Amino acid sequence: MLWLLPSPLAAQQLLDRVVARVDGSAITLTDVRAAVALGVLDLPPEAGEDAAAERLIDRQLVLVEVARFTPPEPPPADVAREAAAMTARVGEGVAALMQRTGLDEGRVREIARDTLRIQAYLNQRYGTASQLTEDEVLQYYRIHPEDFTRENRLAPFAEAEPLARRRAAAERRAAAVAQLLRDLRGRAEIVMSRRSAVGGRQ
Amino acid sequence: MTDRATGVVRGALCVLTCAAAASAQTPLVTDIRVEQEGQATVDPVIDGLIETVVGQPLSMRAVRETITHLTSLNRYEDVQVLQEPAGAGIRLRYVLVPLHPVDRLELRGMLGLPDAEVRRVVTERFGAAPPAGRAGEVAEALLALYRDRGYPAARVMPRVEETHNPDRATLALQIESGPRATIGRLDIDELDAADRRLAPADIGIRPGDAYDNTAILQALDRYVASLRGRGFYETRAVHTAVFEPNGTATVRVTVDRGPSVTVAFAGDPLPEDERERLVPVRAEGSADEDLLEDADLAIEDYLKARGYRDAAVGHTRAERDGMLTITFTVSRGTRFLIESVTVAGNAAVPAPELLRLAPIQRGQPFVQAAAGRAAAAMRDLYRSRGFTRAAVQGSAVVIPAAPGGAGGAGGDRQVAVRLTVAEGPRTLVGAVAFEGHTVLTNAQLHALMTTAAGRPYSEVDVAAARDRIDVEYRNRGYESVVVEPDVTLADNDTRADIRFAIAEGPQVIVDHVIIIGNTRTSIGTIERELLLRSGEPLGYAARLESQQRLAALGLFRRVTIDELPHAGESRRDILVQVEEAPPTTIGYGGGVEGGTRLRPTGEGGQAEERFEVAPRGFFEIGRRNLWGKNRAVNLFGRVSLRSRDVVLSDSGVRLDRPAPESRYGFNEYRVLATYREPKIFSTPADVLVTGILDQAIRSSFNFITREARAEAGVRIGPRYSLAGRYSFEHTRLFDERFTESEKPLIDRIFPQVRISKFSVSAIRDTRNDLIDPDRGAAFILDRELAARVVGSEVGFTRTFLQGFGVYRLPARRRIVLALAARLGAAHGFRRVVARIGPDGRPIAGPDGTPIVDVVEDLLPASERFFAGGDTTVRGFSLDRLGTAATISSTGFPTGGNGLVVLNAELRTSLVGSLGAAVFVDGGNVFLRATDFDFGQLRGAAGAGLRYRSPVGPIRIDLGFKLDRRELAPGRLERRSVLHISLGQAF
Repeated sequence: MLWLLPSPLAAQQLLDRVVARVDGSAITLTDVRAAVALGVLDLPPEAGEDAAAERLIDRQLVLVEVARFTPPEPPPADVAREAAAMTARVGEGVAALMQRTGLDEGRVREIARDTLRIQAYLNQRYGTASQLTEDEVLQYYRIHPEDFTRENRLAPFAEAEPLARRRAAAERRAAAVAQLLRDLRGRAEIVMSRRSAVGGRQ
Repeated sequence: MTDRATGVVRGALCVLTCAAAASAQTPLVTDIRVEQEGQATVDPVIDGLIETVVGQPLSMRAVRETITHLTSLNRYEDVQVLQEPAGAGIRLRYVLVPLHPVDRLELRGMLGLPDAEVRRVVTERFGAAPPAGRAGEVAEALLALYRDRGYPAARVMPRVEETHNPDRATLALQIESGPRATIGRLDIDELDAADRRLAPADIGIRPGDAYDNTAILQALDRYVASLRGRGFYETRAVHTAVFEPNGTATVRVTVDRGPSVTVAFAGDPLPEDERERLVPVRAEGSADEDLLEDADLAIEDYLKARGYRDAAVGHTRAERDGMLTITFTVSRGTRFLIESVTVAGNAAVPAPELLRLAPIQRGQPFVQAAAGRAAAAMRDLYRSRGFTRAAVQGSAVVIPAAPGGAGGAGGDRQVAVRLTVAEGPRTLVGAVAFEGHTVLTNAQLHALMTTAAGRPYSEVDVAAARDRIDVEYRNRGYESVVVEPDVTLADNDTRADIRFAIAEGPQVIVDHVIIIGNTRTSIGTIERELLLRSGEPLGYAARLESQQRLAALGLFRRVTIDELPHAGESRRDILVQVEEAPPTTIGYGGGVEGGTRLRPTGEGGQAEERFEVAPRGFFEIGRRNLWGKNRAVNLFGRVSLRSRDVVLSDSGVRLDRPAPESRYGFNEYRVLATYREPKIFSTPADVLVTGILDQAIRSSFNFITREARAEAGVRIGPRYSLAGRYSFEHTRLFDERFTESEKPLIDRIFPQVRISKFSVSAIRDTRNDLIDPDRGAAFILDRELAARVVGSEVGFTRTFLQGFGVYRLPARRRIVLALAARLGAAHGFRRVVARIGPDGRPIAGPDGTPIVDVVEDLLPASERFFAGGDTTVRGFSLDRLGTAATISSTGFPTGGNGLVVLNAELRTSLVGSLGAAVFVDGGNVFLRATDFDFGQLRGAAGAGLRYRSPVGPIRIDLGFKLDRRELAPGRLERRSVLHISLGQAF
């Protein structure tokens, strides 16, 4: 989080820059940092800003797709709840984050709304666990016995079925989303800025 | 919102508010510098997009927005913002890293393959200038190409080389093709043991040849095609290749010849010429089971469409000694013909109205699917009228055969088709309500409805209403609006309450309008046409119309308007990209005009109709977008090589006869210079100033006109336009064919006439095409007033009313009915004119005072109405029409103050671009408008051919007079007149 507290005495300091262009739209360094801080991107803890930038590109591509298909508008209360959850992730550093990245309340709400719309779109397109057949759930149970083994005892399928259904659905959805992203990336013009050292001071 | 969520949000807002306190520590911006490639740059467009302000604290939001705006220009790959100490605050440096789009593709090294072939592969997949980011994909595609063409060791190394001023890049592909492999070994596997041994020559692939995958595929295709031509429809041939370390390729070809296929038919006969289409074994080169099952169904459908309701088709395969015989057994059964079609159970809709929807009639073959379509169409009609549960059931009752008879010709049976309607209750709309709306009021939403309480309920109406609400919101910038109609049926389905749930979503506002690509056109000219403005909603219709208006300026080759999202969806930059058209336009062309005209012949100079051909050409040069304000100047010149008639003396003796009858020369020309000032004084009106020099050959006189004209026109919506003009013209007549006795009353008083006049035109035009419409109507009113008080030598008023209608008739072929009516009426103001002697001086009376004539209701010849010719009444030569009062004793028309022309034409397409027309025309010219008499209208009928060329229809019409009269004493009019021209007659 050192980048949040630059020294005012620094001779020259990078404030922001274009990290990537997705079909002409810019993704900036502050976009990446704000998304990471707000927990918008599903990133492993050790992921750097380059990985975050890639995820933000994916998010931008999906958002363009969302705009094409217009899923149901999320209720304002849900948007407010999502925005609150995002700022809660930052904790006391919210004010500094806002100042450093140029975010404001409206923009946080927009990001929250985007997140909910993406979720609604993916649910609409790839369905939920209930759409899996019994055979598919059973197959997942057989392939992943470790998921259902507790204290060296494999739970019977009847007992493990709800968990197996959730896991199988999540696996299928992840695969479908990954394929979607590959397709979207194939169709889009993505230009990563060649000065690829994202962030850092000069 | 739940209490918990509200509490969390409030907490977050507090945190956000606290950020304001932190801003007190933000540094002050004391300087802003924009740099590009190490140099400070000054560009008004860029300066206008920078949101940070000197003298104010640093705002990261402004920094972000600036980056977004600058990126929107599509000129920069990166925009870096740096801060450094400067004075009491900081200096912001915007470092712009320009994009270097690839505009060239260079192939270097040892290509091995032709340069054009390599480029073609790249261009087909990636375009002529592949994006730099896809250089790797380009290299992979070329590696695949080289491998296919026998270069397994080829290397392709892409490299993007940037150039500056302008910022561009070259995609350089360094290619080392390496050696080309030859076919070292060819193995042929024949899956069918009964096959004879194939030799390489049989399949056209020889060891020792250079390896080429495409050539091998072509050879195998030829081999397969040759076998299929001999009935081996299931032949398959594939190959694999392995590149060996020694530089050769081992090719293995696998051939499965399959059996020789014969298709046979059994049972009821099928027409010979339909068998290939219904059973496309030969065309598809396949005898697989799916295709055969499809063929069964196709034959059944074919027979059922002809009334064989119970047709059944099956096929069998019999393979023996390498021969496969496929036999289709056709059982078509009895043919059923429709004896009657009746409707039952209908109360709300009369049977004739329902039967009009049914595509089935008595005497036709009975087709179950057609009866089903009839039932569906009837059901849809009922549902559109509120019968939500309406159902229509079709049944066909076979009428028993007459005793001793076979039931009809050739064993046909008759069926009575009965369509039974179960109407169910009629549903009326009970209430229409809305929820979730905050932008539009209930009244506004109700105004958008296509349905209302008390009207029949229709799903179609509800869907249309939903679409209208949706569009209205989108036009106000709510692009993610979702409108969901919910219909609740009540009171035994007799009432439908409709509720539209509206999720408005955020309103999208235009942030910046960025205009790029214009070098000569001023920003103001472009902005004037844009309906999208900073701070206003980004409306769907406004965007479309802006694009249309910019394109309509005619200044640009290409116009695109893109939305660029930034910082969320609620604000967008609008990027207007234009590509300017060349400012100077030059046009030229030539052609031939043919038509029948009146010519003076014989010693008396009497009129005779004669077909003449006149070569003509034009040249045009224009300069548009003067001073960047869309002003334009244009110079147009047209000249025709046409004969000029001889001049008669007072006694009718020819004075000039250099040629046997007339002399050819550039006797007809027109020079026209225009200046256009659009949107004058910021009004919607365009002003056109025109200068004209015009010499024309007419039937009864020739004239030369010099005219200056100023015109202001304005379009009022897409259909209406209004124009007002002032013109000052001077006309000189020459080669008049009026007799001396006619002159005093006609053009002796206007030998050199100066006309100053005002005129207005009002047009309503709904035609769908200006050149060759097939739908719509146009009404044009022209009114002119010339008066001596404004400098005219003669005073008159003139009204010309034109109406045109075109209607496409309901037929499969394009048949258009075109109608036209043109009415003209003019009145000359009273005037006293001195009588002029042959010497050109006024003639004095016995008392020495000049003798004068009182002239009333006469117009100069150039202002009178004439008719006859290819655009008016086509059985007559140009201007030939007239009553006894408007035709001279030698047969030449003198024009009149009243005109009627009526036309009806039926146009149809024939083959390709060729069409035909038949027409009836009628009309006449009257000395005075009050002389109009239906009994004196002259008619013509005829036919013509049309050829739809890129410049409009080329037209040949042959018109016949319905009543043939004397053209001049002792000389009958020609029966027919031929016209060749461009464009429709009216």
